[in-house]
Amino acid sequence: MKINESDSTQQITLAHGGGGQLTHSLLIELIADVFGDNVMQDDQARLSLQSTNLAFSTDSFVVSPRRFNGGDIGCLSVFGTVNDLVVGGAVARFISCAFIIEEGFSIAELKDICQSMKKAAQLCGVDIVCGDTKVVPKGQCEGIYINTSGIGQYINREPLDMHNIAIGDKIIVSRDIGRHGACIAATREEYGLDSDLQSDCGSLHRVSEALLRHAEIKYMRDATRGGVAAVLNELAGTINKRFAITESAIPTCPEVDGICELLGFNPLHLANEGCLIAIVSEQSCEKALNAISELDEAQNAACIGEVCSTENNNALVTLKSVLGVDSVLASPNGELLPRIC
Amino acid sequence: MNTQHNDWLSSGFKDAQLMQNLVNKITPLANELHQQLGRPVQIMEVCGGHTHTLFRYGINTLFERDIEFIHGPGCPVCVLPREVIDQCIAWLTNDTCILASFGDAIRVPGTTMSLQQARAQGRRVEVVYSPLDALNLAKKNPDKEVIFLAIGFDTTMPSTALTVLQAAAQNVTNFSVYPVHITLIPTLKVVLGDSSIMLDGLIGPGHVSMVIGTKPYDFIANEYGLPFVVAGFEPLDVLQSLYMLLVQKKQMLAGAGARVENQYARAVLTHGNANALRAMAQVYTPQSKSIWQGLGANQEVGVTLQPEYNQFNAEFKFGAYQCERESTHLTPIYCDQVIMGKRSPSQCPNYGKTCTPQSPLGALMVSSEGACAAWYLYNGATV
Repeated sequence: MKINESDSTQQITLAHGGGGQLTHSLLIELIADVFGDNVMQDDQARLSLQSTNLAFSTDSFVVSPRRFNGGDIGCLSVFGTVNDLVVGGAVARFISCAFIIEEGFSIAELKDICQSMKKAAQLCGVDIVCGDTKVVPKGQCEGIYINTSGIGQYINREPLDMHNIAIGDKIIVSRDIGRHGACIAATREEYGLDSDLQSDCGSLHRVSEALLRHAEIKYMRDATRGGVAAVLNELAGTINKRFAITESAIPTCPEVDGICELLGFNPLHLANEGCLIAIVSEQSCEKALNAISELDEAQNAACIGEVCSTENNNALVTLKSVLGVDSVLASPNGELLPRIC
Repeated sequence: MNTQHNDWLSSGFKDAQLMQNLVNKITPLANELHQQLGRPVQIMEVCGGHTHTLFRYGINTLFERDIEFIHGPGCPVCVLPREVIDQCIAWLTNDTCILASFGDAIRVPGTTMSLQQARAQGRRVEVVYSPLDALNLAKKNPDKEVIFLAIGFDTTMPSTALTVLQAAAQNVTNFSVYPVHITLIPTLKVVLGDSSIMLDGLIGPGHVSMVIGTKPYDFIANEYGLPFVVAGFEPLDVLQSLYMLLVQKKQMLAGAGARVENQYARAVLTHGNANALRAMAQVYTPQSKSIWQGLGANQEVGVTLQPEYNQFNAEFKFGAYQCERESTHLTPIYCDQVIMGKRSPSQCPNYGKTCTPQSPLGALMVSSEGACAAWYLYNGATV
């Protein structure tokens, strides 16, 4: 059977994962057609890098729904791994991709996902150099899962070290927060929400590059799962400092606020897929904000707080409410569940 | 629902300047009343939503020398007895059963496990945002039996009632509800009837009052002589209702009588929502069997479905399953006293030690509206 992605009746079958002719035609006619022949020629990708310091990262994507306002699982899987590399100060160079596909999955959708990945890779300047496909029986995965791994290079730059973070440093978020998590919640049909909110799903390579070039950046993290609150708590715990956040300084868009009000979520707990947290020296905070203010993906960047000592307050992250009262900002605990009323 | 037009909802009632103005009015008044009474003013916020707002904005700490907040029983997840979870898990052992539940209820511990843990063991537990979603789930899965775990105070009762009426009208045969709703007025009577709880006033629940109106609270002012202010959930709402309560208390100390006031007039009518009340009267009848957390047995606080809707009543349809009971309780749990406002969360020996949001011993540590979870969220493990 020829792979014909324009035929909407064509589905992935277990035979596509069997290693025989159908596997071959899937790889050649769909995967290699999108990503280029090199991806499939050898069992390994052959890379050439002039650098002793490399960054390596991996991430798996099991998002449901697969398509959301502002992206899909394909571009998300590329941006996610690229972002993990660039927030450490590396330039993302190569990416692998592995698909786990459920029997019965639409071949047309698979092609769309591959094309979305390719477009995302081009946007960030990385090459997709190797990959794998596996097919599992119906019910053993939900549609498609994607794993990507990526290699980046530190070019004329040392990797960022969280231990350089000092008391008095400022904490910046690169854009308004909570978009991806709120968008996914709004897209889930069981909540019956109607929203135009776009996910922030996107590459952080330009933001990271501009920050590193123009400001004294101590450390960066992308605020994905668990949101800004989880990342700050984890980081503060590791370096034994307190992060003091000011609620009124946190940028959110009205749509995210609305969804949080309805479902009882906190924007600080919602996932982002195109927002980083940067810790910068106090004197270069303004430079950092200016450096990224021109970028579309960093329109609402803001300084949300500063690094303090843990003396007088044993909390890791504190949030100053609009009434001036400090409270503990905890990590979200597990699954985000909407409250009853 | 469209989320686009909610800007005013989420920002207008959080205006920092307006909030500060109210704080400036409340502070001297609370201090004056403290002097006059010779002790801090004791205010009960009935609803867990208000508990959450108090902690979220730090309102409780702003006046901590002069006002003591006593967290009331109005968190629908917190009053859930373990037996309810055990019953759901018993039904779920049948593979055709899908249990649909509001989000935060799935973390409430049962005797052996929570619904979330049952789901991890392969039982089908679906989180829904409305009972109508559960009905749709039944229509989409005609070969399954969908049971909706119908919890909540009067706030969520009308939507369950309307869903039962819709299921009847559409003749959906694989849908039923497990009615463990709890009505607020009898619950308040239990709390107020307990002589060990001393109060100067109550912040009344906004959502429940949208359904039942403000009239049913008259007895609180008339029989118990307590000021009662129905309040919205934004920080400005809570501050304003607090101010109204203190003004009333001051007037009472000068000889005036207590009264019920409505701060949440943008949503709450004196006589409530007639359509909702009609649907409730049509579908429910009071029931006293339940053992509510903190409220004890045989209180007339629960409801069941009217007999004509028995086919939509999971208890009737599938029978109450005899759950295996453990002979001894795991740990002494002080939830009852916290629910009744007799003990603050931090006064519980389990708080932050054996009972945390990650591993809750009692339901108060589960919902973000539960007093213990709210304490933990904004104060951490050590208080």
